[in-house]
Order: sequence, then structure tokens, then C-alpha cells
Amino acid sequence: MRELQIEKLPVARGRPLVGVTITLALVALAWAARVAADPLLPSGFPYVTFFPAVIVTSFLFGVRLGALSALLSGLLAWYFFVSPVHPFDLTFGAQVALAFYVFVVATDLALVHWMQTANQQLVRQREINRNLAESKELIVRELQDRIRERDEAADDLLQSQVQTQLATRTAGIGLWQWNVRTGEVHWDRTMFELYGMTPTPDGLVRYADYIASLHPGDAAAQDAILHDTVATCGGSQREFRIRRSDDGSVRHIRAVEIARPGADGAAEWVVGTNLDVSDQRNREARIRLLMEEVNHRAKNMLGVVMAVAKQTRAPDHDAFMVRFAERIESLAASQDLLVVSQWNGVQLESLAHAQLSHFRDLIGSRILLSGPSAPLLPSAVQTIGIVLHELATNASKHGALSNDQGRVTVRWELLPGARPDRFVLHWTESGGPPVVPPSRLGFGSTVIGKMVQMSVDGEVSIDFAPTGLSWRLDCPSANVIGDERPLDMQPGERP
Amino acid sequence: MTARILLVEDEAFIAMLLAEGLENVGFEIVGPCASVARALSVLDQPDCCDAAVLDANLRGESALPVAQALRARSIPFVVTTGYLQSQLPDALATATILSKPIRIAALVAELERLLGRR
Repeated sequence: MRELQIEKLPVARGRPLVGVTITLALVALAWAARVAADPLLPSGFPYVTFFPAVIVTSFLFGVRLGALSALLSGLLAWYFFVSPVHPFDLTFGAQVALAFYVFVVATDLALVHWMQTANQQLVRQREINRNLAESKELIVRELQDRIRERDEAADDLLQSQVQTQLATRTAGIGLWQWNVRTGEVHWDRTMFELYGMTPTPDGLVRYADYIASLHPGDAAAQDAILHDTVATCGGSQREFRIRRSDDGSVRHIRAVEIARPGADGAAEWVVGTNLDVSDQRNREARIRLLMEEVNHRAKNMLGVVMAVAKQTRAPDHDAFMVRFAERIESLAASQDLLVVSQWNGVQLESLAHAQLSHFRDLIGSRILLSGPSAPLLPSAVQTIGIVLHELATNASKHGALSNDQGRVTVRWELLPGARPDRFVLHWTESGGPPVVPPSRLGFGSTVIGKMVQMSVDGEVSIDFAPTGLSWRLDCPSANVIGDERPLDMQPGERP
Repeated sequence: MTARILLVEDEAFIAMLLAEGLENVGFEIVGPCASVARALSVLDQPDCCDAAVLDANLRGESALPVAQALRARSIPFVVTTGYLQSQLPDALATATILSKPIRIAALVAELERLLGRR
């Protein structure tokens, strides 16, 4: 802002020597001018040149030097120009002249002083106004900055909220907070979904309702853990089971929470997350169950191998190894089918193909398979498998498959009329060499006789007719036939 | 007097092996039974046996009802299984467990111990 010249008055503030010198010079100049003008002036104007000096001095240097100038001018005029001149005689005339002088200069000084004070006040006022304006501008700028920062922070917060919500919803993580002081528990939407509850409008849930939704076996422990979290103002990670409110299903929840202290350091809020880990738990349980099942079946199979080894008879070690290996091969073929069918629903026809694989070229010509769909129980697969193996081995050594013309018919029937339903399997040979009943019962005879009867609670009839061997198994179909549904083991099933 | 042993085992080869082994040392075999129903019907007959060898799993079914029937009649029994002891229900796990595959000598020794205790 441009400063007016008049606002600089009085000048030479802080430089008293300059002011005093100029003041004295002006007084001296006024005196000289009066002396010079004396012959021209009529009597009665002793102060005429001193008034301008006083006014100029006070105008330029302020009231103090103005007063000094007035005093000196008064004394000079009194001494030199008020009649009688030279002595400081206080005659009546001198008194009137002095009084007049005092009145005029006092008025002058007062006016100049008043004007300068007003002027200074104006300057100060202007200064204050300028400062105010600057402050105002500063404040407005500051406010704008703060508003922008707050808007940006709010934007960031909103974005982070959206991201958090998206992340937790995608991951199925429920968020909750518990105001310890008021006892209010607040859930987000995912929490309600996890617990199978209808969301409340304000998301509020009673603590007691929450505890009641936990699995009865876990509720007390979880209540204790939560209260411990509050008491220690700590946090915890835990897993527990809940009962969903909508369908009553038991779910496994992994929870993490942390207590936040209030001003007094005691827990004020507990915030936490819940995640349904049931699928993972079930998978783990299923894998554990499968491992246990594999262990069980492997050991069972070792028992079977031991039994087969014990009962395989042969004249020498080489012959033993051949027969033993064939039987192990038969067991392995049945095992393969069980694994492929996931332990259920192996079709009898597939089993026959597998067990007669040495004669696969004859199937359809000299070996005829016929029968309805017959999905076998896992327990029957191995038994029927080894029976077919022993019958085929016998036929290739002594029966219809030991020459070039013999035929074998494998036929099975499901007879639903009887109670219980029956399953019948026929093995009929023809066209082979004349049949001679065996003199000694070996392992094969045991398998196709005693073993299979015991295994399926069935009846076996064997006819060593000279035209060909005829073998027949008749048993309750429930002991042999299952359904085609893959065996679905549920966690918790135990032997 | 020959002790009669009820053999409950669904795996026919193993049943035959055990039956043969036990008969060789002078036991008389009742069964073998391959199912829970079959075993329970044999147990319904009075004074059917002196001891039992019980497979824990019969055609996918738990042998627990057979174990309870044996307990009710105070007939001592040995449980055979391919499962771990920890996987068995308590009523089976508290009995003497022989893990498959079974050695005949171990089974005979256990049965004689049980019969001697009576």
C-alpha cells in the first residue's frame, strides 16, 4: 500500500539532534526576518515572523519541538520586539501581547497536535486493517487447505472402506465389534450370513444371542476367552463350532480379535473377524479318514496275501511262485477295479473281463458272458474275482479251455421274486476233455467252495459231469450287489 | 474239553487261515461269521462258544453290536483290525487288540490267556 507523504509527519522521529537543529535554525531565521522586516512593520506585530516558524516546526517535528520553538520565539519577540524592547518588562502591554501570543501558538500547537494524532491513528487503523485483511486471507487459505485435506482423507477412507468391504465379502470374512461399556455387539452383513441369521436393521446383536448361537460344547470356553480378552485388553486367535440359526448345521469358525483400550487403559472395544473354515476342516477330516482307510485295507490285504501264501500248495518253489503270483495278480486286478470305481459299483462283467484277461481273445467266441447289470459290493469284488480266477485256471489246466474247442458260459441272474432277493452265478463248461473229479482238494477247491460260501453266506453246487464242469453259486443278493453310487465316506464314520 | 472259538471275520481268506491255525492247535471253530447279523444269530444260541475272535469291521459295518453282545454274555474276545487302536470305538478299543496281519501264534497265546483267566 502506498504511504501518503502526510502520514510521514512528524519527520525525524528518533533523530532529535536534527529536529532541534532545524528548530533552532527556523527560530533564528524567524528572528532575522523580524529584524529585517522591523523598519517596514507598524508597531504592534512582535510575533508576526515567529508564528510561521512555530507552525512549521510543530508541523514538521511534532508538538514538543513546536513548543520549544514557541518558547524561544516568545522570549526572543518579548525581548527584542515587545515594547519596551530589551528588558523583560512585564508591562500591561507586554502582558496582553504575551497572552495573545500564548493563545495563538497554543491553538496552533493544539491543532497541529490533534491533526497529527488523528493522522497517526489513521495510520495505525490502516495498519490494523491491513493486518486484518492479511490474517483473513491467511485464515481462508488455511481453511481451504484443511477442507481439501479433509476431503482427500474422506475419499481415501471411503475407498479403503469399499476395498475392505469388497475384500472381506469376497473372502467371506465377517467383521464384528463389541462395545464393552454398552454391551452392544455390531455385526456386518457377512457375519449374519455366516451364522445364518436375518440381519437386524442396525446390525446390532445381543451378546447373549451370539453366545447362544455357538455350539453348546464350545460356548462356555469361547465366552471365557472373550472375557479374558477384555480383562487383559489383549487379543486371541481361536477356532470353535457354531450352530447356524437357519438350518442348524454345525460350522467351524476361525476367529481373530483384539481389544482396544479407552482413555483409562481398560478395554473399551473388542473388534474381530470370523471366517468359516468348515470346508477346509471337512477336507482334512476326509483325507485323514481316507489315510486310515488305506491303512486298514492295506493291512487287510497283507492278511489275505499271507493266507493265500499259506494255502497255495505246489511240488516245488518255482511252481509255488507261479501259482502264488497268479493269485496275487488276480487280487491286484480286483483292487484296480475297486480303485477305479472308488470302492463301489464294480460291474460283474468288468470283473469277469479283468479276471479272464489271459483268455481275452476267446471272450465272445468260446467264452460267453451274460447277465444283467450287476454292480458289486466292495467286499464281493475280491471274492468273486478270485473265484473266477480259480475256475479259469482250472479250466485251462483240466477243463474246457485246455483244448481248442471247449466252451465256457458265465451267466448271472438277479432273482427279485424270492425273499430275500437272490443272486445266482453259473460257470458252465462244455466241449473239454472228459471230466475226472479231483482226487485231492487244493486251494482252488477251497476258494470256489468253502471260502465263497462263507464270504457271501451262499450255497455252492459243483457237478463234475463227464461232459463238463458245472459250478453254481446262489446267495442273498444283498451280500453281493450294491449300487453304483461311489462310496461317500463322511467324516466321523468309524469302523 | 475242547474250547470253542467263535470266529467273526468277513475276509474269507483270513477267516480260513485263522480257522485252520486254531484247529491245528486243538480249538473247535464256531463260524466263521462274515457279518454282524450272522454273528448275532450265532450268539443267540445258548452256550455257543467259550471265546471269540472279532474283526472290528464287517463288510463296512462296525462290529460294535457283536462286542456288546459278547460282553453281555461275559464271553472273552480278541479284536482284530487293520485300523489303529485310536480309531476304534471305546467298547472295541478296551478289548485286547491284535493288529492285522495276524500271527496265529500270537492269537493262540492271547486266547489261552483269556480262557485261563475265566
